[in-house]
Amino acid sequence: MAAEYDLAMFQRDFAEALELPAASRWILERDESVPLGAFCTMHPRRAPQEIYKVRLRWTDYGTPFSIKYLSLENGSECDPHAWPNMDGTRPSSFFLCAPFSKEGNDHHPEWDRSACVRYKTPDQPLIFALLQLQFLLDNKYVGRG
Amino acid sequence: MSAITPGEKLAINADLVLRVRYAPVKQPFVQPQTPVSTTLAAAKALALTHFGLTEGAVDGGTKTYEVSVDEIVQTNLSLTLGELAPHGKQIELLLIEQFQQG
Repeated sequence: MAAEYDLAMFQRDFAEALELPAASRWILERDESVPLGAFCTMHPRRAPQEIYKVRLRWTDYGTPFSIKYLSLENGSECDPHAWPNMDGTRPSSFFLCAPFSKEGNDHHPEWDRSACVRYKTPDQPLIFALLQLQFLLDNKYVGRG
Repeated sequence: MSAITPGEKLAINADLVLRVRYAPVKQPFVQPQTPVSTTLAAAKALALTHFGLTEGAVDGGTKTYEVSVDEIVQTNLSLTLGELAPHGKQIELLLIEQFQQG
């Protein structure tokens, strides 16, 4: 169960994320099945017809977060086609390999031992996640998984 | 060589407000009077210093920081802020960390 403080910060960030200029390009929704979770539907700047739905989840709002791209048809998190090919993503393995992702850290436990690489909790983790993923989609996208 | 017109002189001397958002930090870096002749490279360097960031090799990989303007990553860092915001009084950059595993 998420701490009350984490939940309050998450709710604050969720409200602020909806006010970001980039939010006009998103469908941002709470994931009501968990305390600290959200869905965001977004698209690459150069391929607006390619729609992706990402699920972000935190166990603790200060730690790396789970990133899963979901099938728009059936919600599956194990559909390579639901994943964008961009820096760090591994569509056939269903994870994004980066210091901010839970899955990346599961794969690279050594990152947490490195002062330089270790995830440093952003001021607003949800907003960081959304901006980071949108940046990758806009500038590092090469196609569907 | 033609003389510089008063309008051109104003443009050369003009300042704009530089705002740089670094995704993990809520408060952006803001420099109110930034010459339009400032290059993107110089603006990026100011922002890296402000946020205490360094590019280069780190344990097992390389960290770099990319700059985007209006959602487009900028690769030509010799462009000036005036060229990127020709009619604007302010420019907003987004600084994004990239980590490449070695």
